[in-house]
Amino acid sequence: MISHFLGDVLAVIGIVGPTLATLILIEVVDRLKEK
Amino acid sequence: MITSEYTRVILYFVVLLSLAWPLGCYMARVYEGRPVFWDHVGRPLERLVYWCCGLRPELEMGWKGYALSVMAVNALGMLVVYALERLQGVLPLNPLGLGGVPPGVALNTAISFASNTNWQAYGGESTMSFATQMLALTVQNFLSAATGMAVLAALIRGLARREAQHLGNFWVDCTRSVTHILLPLSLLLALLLVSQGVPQTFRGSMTARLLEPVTFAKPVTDASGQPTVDADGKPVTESAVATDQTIALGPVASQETIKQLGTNGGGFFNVNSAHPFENPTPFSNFLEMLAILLIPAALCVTFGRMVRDMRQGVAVLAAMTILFALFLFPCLTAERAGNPRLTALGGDTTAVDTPQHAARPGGNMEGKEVRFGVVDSAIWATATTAASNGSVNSMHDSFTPLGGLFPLLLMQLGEVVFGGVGSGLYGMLVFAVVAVFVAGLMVGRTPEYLGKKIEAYEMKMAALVILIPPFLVLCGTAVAVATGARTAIGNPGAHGFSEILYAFSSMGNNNGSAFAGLAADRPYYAWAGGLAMLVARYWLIVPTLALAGSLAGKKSIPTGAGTLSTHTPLFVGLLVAVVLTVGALTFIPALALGPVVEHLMLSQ
Repeated sequence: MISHFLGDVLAVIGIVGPTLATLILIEVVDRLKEK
Repeated sequence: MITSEYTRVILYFVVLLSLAWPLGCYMARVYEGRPVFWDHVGRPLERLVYWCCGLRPELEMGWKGYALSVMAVNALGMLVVYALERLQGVLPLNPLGLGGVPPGVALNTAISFASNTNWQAYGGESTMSFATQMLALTVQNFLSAATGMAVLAALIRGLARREAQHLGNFWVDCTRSVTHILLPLSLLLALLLVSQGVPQTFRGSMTARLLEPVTFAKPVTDASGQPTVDADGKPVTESAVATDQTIALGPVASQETIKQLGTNGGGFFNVNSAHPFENPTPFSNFLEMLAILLIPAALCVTFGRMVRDMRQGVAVLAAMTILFALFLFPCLTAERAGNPRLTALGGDTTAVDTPQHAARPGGNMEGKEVRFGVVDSAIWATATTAASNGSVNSMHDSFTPLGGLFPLLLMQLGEVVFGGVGSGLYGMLVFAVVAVFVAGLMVGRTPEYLGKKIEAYEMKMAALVILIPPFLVLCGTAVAVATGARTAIGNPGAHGFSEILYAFSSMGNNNGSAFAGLAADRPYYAWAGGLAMLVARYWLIVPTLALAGSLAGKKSIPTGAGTLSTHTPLFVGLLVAVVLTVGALTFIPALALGPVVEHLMLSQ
């Protein structure tokens, strides 16, 4: 049960983390244009 | 026999290109918001979506707004799919009483279907309930395809518009892709597939009495249901007799159609379109092969229409067709030739992988279904890896080393030879930008594409799009080979390396086809593969949209005497050369360690 709960937490981080990283990429790419 | 084979290949191309033309014109009208015959059904559905979601379709977006909308709908989609997989045990539409999917596989699958990869680290009929198959996976098949098409529509507008700040509205493009294109085509294809025997039912399974009982070794399990092993660590088995067979059923046709039309590829059954319920007849096989490449090919026509120069669309379509043919015929030839060691034994051998001869009229049938044979297996393998489809009607792991090399390299080219719906063409247009840049370097002029100057920022975005997938593929493979993850391979040596390289080429390019032979449900492949699929999808969409936004804001330069024409055979040749050169320079060393060395060992 605990391992499944940890697995769920890691999985949500696995989705949300790269999504946030993509948002950062959007900002970085936008600033490259401003330069 | 050979004449018949080439006739079938030519027939496939003729029908494909004949259907692509009207469909491409139709899709251009859809994305331009012009009236189409489907409006009396599609428009009410479209308005219903806007009303339910509180969307304002008249508002246009800049590239950042468009990218944020893409990420919002896709991230939400992943979370919903993950939740449905984990909770399927307590949800309805679960006639087989399947439990929740384990977290690692559920994450991998959620990313896989949202990113249009459809890599499957599970057996569909034994893992996913009908609720998961229909509400999670099939919905994502539509949404992920529509996302790719919407991003392409934005890039085309970026090329077509002058000094503009906006690329359209993502929600409108995505909704229209579903209501006006994917839905009607899916309905039509589903009916055709049902006519061929593909089931569409909520009945979970049926039991058939075997004609004669079968004796088999049944694994002995302990009280917790885990297999027991003896002192040497080998599984303990007992002799058992089977008199009945359970045949899995389900709503297959509805998933099968969008799986092919949306270049998704995730099968209802574990063996995908090799299963007789997914692909029962040679006619269903022909329909599905057409469906794989139909929208990607038609989008080239859409591109030509939307930039008001059909020659541009034809040039890109010609480049894709040439590349496809360059890979199809060697694959077909290698598969027809079979295993050279068996060939050397003489023509009277009856082994399954010998070339065609009097005793084996079907030729090399290893890994292939008898109802499809060598030709349809080779066309499918090439089409499914050219497009980012990933469905299979034969087992690529059983192909000859060279027969497997060409599908593998097609994925590694970045899925731009037809490619995924939308993603294939926007990838190819990025290569076109690189091609005009290379041509500009050769003649010392500022490169232009469709009247837009290609400058440093555009090249940085193009470089990101081209370099990210190889980075994911090569790093993922290298880590797997260097760590304990390599023990997941089913075969030692070069073939085992090919299994790992194929897996990461598939996930790192959002293809999803499996080479088989690899235990892909191991944690490393589930987690690293999930990350690779996610990055390969969205980290390419972001620079593509940034490129579109930058191009949209530029002035259009009038064509001059020194302008490189991008609709001529010369440019088609240059585009083909650039795609092949980038792919070859990046992947030949890795291919040399896998299929190439395996072929040389087989030929000795």
